[in-house]
Amino acid sequence: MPAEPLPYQKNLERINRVYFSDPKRRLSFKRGEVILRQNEASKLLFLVVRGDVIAYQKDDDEADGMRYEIFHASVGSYIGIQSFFSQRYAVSSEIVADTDVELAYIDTDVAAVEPEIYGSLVEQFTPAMLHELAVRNSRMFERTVEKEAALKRMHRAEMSATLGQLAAGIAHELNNAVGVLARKTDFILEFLESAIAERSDELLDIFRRGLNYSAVTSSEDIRRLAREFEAEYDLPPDIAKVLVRIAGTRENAKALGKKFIAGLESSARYWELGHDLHDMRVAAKHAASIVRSVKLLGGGGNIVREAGTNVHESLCEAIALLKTHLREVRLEAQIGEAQDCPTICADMTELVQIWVNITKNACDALKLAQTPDPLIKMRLQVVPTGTLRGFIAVTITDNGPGVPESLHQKIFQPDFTTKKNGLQFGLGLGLAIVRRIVDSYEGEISLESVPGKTSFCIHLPYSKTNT
Amino acid sequence: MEKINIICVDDQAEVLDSVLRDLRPLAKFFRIEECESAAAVQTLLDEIADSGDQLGLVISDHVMPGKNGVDLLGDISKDERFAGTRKILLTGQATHADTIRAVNEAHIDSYFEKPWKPHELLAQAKHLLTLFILEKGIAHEDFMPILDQSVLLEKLRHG
Repeated sequence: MPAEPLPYQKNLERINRVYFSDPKRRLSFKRGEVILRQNEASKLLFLVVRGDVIAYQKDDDEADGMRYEIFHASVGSYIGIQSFFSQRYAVSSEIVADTDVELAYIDTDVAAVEPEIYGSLVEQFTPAMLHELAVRNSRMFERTVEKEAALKRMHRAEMSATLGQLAAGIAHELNNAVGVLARKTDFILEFLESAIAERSDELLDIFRRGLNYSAVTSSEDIRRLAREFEAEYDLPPDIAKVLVRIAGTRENAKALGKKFIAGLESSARYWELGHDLHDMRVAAKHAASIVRSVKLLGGGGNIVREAGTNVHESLCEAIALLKTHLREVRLEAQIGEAQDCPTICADMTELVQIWVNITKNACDALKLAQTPDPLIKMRLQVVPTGTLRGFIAVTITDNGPGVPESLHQKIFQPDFTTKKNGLQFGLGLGLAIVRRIVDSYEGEISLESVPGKTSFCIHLPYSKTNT
Repeated sequence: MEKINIICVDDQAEVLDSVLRDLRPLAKFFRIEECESAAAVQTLLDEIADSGDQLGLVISDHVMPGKNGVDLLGDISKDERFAGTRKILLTGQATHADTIRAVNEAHIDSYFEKPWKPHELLAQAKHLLTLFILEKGIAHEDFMPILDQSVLLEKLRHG
């Protein structure tokens, strides 16, 4: 059995039937026609019987001022409510036919039908009119909310663009400064090598050992061996440490000979000088690579997707850029070698941005949760089988607290951020950008997360785009 | 002459090397040790305590893998074996909260931002070591050339 219509609907049907079914009180308009002008005198109340109309309001003072849409009315909506019931008898907005339209109307001469049962005309119309106004009001509210959100998004996009430009500017300046340091270091090195060579080949040899020394020995091992050398060769502690670095082992030290070791008291300075230059070069190279990465990120706007872009390199670039963030985190990068990695048609900036945004989020999450022994794994591989066969898969996994299931979709939306306080500032655009980029490559991004293991996996088609 | 140790801690070898070089004028009077992590410091601390030597000063970076500098210095300040040991935090990346904790919990004596001025770091090291030597009643005559004269004068005046 059909449900009994609500009293409200019953009332509505009755009003429309009783007051708006007179075929003599009908008007038709073609699409685009103006039904009523703003401020035009009118004693009519309309019901839209067919088609759609739009109500606009114009700036009064300007002839061709802005036109704002006030409401949209379709079949069943009333027009002229305010004019009719406020007894102002002038329409406050311009009503235009959005499609071919048919309207039914009543005028102020209409008499209430069956007032003894349903009350006065105003009483009969009140529920319907209030409802109509409430609908318009809530549509207006929705539109305001939408506009507010759009404004916010725009503001944020602008902010990140400004940050990008700022970063690019700083990167450019730093690049020049680092370039000068690197070049001048080389000049000094050239001069020193020739000057030392004039003194003796032995000193030059020691100098070059310092220059090329890059072994990684723990400070503990160095200390232990240095103590032995101090005693064995009667050396002051700092000279003994240099000997440890030159020789590395007891056997090598013995092989260098007593004369060499005795000479270290004066020649050790040359080893240190060489090693200083080594450090300067390493530092300049490091600074240059950071600057390059920042430039890459700030570059935005001029995206050029080129064939032959190496995904491995983009991961290295991202790691270099995140060096500071990753210092407190153990990084396991199973990303193979550059030459083994298939290349794709891509823009380096975009790829780096994907990895940086995801990895940085992971770092922040680990830090915020104070995860013990924080770990981030990066894995690069080519999918061998399945529907994604031939895709390049990059998985970035952390051992942080994870993303609750309820947020899995939300985190990819712009404006969503969990970083609300403290030093970390979140624009809430990170993962939204990632999604946008991955989508534009016709790739896929997936998230699997349980406490202690959160994996973002990005699939990029390489056989498809590499043509 | 009593053996007094200075420990420098930084996970970046080049930075650690620079600190050591800046402290070189002290090398004739103190044993200057270097560590690339808080864990490495721990073993060294035991060695120093076991051999009955003194630990005059620790200069530590803050942001390092594993235990950070503030926590390391905090642990040392709680360690009875090293009561009186002076502490310098040398960092480029400590947050405001880290710094507050460094002062309140790790009781650091001095805070240097990277990049530091070498002569200032050396002067501060001398100052703190002089205080340490006087406080411990170590024969300060042995260390005369590198002692902070103003601290000595103050001591002479007020006994």
